[in-house]
Amino acid sequence: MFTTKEIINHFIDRFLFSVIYSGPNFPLKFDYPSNHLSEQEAIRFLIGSSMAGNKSIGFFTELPGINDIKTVKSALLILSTELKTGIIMPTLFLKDIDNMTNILITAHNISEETKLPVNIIMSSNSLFSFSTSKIPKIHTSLKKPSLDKYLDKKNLEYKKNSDTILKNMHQAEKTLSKKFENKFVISENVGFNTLDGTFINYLVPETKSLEISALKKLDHINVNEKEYPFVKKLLETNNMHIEIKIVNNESPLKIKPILCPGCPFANITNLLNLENYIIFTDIRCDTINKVYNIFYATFQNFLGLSNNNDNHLCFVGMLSNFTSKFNQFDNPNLIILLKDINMHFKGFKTTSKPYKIKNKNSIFPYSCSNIEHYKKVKIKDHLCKCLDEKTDPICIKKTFCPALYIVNSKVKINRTLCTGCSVCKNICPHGAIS
Amino acid sequence: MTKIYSRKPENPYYPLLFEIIVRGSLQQKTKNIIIDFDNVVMSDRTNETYISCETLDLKLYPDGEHYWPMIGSLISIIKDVSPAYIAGYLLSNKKNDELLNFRNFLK
Repeated sequence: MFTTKEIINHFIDRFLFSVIYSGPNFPLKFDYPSNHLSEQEAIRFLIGSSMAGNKSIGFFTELPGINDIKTVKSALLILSTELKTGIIMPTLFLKDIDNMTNILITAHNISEETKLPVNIIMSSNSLFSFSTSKIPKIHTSLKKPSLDKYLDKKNLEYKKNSDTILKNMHQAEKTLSKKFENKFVISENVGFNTLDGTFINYLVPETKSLEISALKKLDHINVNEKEYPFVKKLLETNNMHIEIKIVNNESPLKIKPILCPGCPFANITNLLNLENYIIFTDIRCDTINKVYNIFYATFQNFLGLSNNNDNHLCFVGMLSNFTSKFNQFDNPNLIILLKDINMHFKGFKTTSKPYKIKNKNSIFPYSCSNIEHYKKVKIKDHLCKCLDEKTDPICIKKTFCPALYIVNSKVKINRTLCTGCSVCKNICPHGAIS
Repeated sequence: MTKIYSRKPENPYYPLLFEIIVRGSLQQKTKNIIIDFDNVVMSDRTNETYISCETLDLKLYPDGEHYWPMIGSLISIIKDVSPAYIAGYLLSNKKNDELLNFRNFLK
């Protein structure tokens, strides 16, 4: 059996990709060095590097919106995890992990053949699963693409480029329709992230999708609530008028919310008394949104939102996403930047320890992607009284830390997970944590 | 036939949720079993066969020592599954305490 990560790593080795980008919130963690680019910046970086002849691959949570694509010299694959409307490049949908190797190779070949970037959208089923199919052996004839000394100027001319792209899109559709011929199962249950149901294998913009046209035979289709906007848009763009019934096939299992140990947001929200604040962040994490009611916004959005606004507002964002031009704005709100790179800005004081954070513009000592480790905390059993008083332990209730757990009516600390951030120590009402 | 499905976790430390569909028996019976390795399930557990530290009266260990008795308990529920593969793995890796715990819950 092979895991998703093993299959991807093997594929990258086999097909000699030389430029690799993994977004900060991509659910699978790879060992490639981080280059601190935001997803929006990285997509342009990858297009540029593959235009120069580097085989490039990027992992994104949600594919950032870009208006145009360019023809590339070497394969460019973009793997993402969210179904998003407004597809602008040939896209393959990976629903089942057993098809993963096949889809990756197809995407590589399409990109090489048509000189277009190719997007693979991975379903949640395919992200953390096990494949029983074999990984193909390394083909020895594959060689690293040779980098030309000069860029191909034809690729840089906009007019010529857009004509070529349209022609290449049709070529991609032709190849993909042949590849996936008779592999689309028509069913009224349409679902991508669901256990059952069918989903299209591919989509090429500017071309007619044969797989979607095949749904014409049905009176109605059943679609999951979360996937409804995507499917609706898909049918609209293909002039299909089928009734869509929304179904709820979410797993009935509810799981306790858990944050990363040392989560900067656990420290910031618990130590700064931000109850009266509306908090925004440019970090995409569903759990912080749920447990601390923090909203997603880029710093640019936040600047606009805070204009002529009497609310107490706070922005927590990555230091690497902040630029000195934002400092030109006279913003009275609380701004905390998470230190993912070594940079300083006028008016921001860097705090040395997470628990020393103060209620003013400052730089938190680490970010979600580089959580620091400090001296681990200890629990004095005789002072740990929440469970004796039949109340939920405050430390677990407020921090959602996976390092804290309960055994025999006492809170214990998993020392392997504890980062020593001390948020639990600072909020324990009995002083039981030291 | 076995099929494994997963859900996308919300963050890197969020518990992984796997749904494993095992088919192979000639009996026309199905059973849903929830095995909660880390005591994280909040849902109503009354309609399913639910295995957790609480139901088996086990302590929760940070190194996952409690996983083995839970697997023993799981196998004891699915009558036509052999425990030999897991017992063989534990034996060959000289995990004697884990093997003992596993066997204790097979009954």
